[in-house]
Amino acid sequence: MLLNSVILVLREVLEAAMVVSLFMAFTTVSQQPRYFLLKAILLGLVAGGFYAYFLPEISNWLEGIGQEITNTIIHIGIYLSLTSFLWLISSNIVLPNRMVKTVMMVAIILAISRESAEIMLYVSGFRSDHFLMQSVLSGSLIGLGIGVSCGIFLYHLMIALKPAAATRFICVLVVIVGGSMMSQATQFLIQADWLASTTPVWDSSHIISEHSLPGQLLYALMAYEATPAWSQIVVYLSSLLLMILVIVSARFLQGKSKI
Amino acid sequence: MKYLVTFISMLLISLNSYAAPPTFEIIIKDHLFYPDELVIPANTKVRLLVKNQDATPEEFESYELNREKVIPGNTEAIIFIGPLSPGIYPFFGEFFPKTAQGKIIAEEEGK
Repeated sequence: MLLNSVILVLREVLEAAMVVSLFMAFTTVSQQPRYFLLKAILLGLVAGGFYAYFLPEISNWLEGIGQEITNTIIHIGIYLSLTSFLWLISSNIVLPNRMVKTVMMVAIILAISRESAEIMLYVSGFRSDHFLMQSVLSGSLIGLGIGVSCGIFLYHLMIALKPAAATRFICVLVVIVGGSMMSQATQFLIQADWLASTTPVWDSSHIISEHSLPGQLLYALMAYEATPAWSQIVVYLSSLLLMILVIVSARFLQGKSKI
Repeated sequence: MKYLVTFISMLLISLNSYAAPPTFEIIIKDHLFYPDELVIPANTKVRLLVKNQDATPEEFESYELNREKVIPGNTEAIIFIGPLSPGIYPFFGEFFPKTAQGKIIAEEEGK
């Protein structure tokens, strides 16, 4: 039970930890206070609590696919806030601008709400079993610890760079996380039967299995699928492209306005 | 306008007559799946009705099927899968993976 809890919680924490550490590094590089990020983390946890509590009702929405659609909305919401973030900072609108703060907060709240809801549901399932609860809690804490450490590692990796390079690195990672969000959103729409399910385009499970550690890490980083559907690949690539276009066009407009 | 009404009503009729995918039931009890081997027709979209009869939540997860869904205690969930090529697709309960294990076997009809 202990090991299972470690893996489960770590998987959930990694994704949210990545978004948080990216933005933590961004505030440090911009030499701004990051109190608002802590506020977003707390709000995310509260939202996660609500999501977990109302999950039985939410699941029943839309003839039983409420959970998939809510998850899709959360993932698209994260993607849109990350895209707005890229637009703003590429247009040289930086912290402490309120818009920048808002989009960063929305991304964190959404990312934490979904991941924390799952952990809360998981842990709450053991509330009547004190014996198992102990190992589940210690496992979850270890998982949380490893996840947070990975986030801290990433944070220090970024702030060790020169500010300009760090911002560029942050943008690249934001694009990768954004693509991952849209790929997961597509997956939920297929699961809800709102998008047609097709046979997988390829099967790379013999190279990197989703069961393996590299597979899990790649999943957390970029929603790696060993057997992706066409729609997932198309959405993934177009979302990456859209983010890159947003950066390029914001910079272009910025350059034009200077002249 | 008249054409629009005809078009919409035809669309609605066609949606209505569209055959609903066959439903297969899986029950979660004592952190086990019943049945733990479910044979479904290959190349057909299928609606899984997963009933969690435990008080604890469970997450239906399968890497092979690319599916994940949390099912709170004493509730049921619908998961669409397929059309699948013939083969074996393992699934598990992420919250109790030691016991909650099962597989979907997609078989071509007539075999």
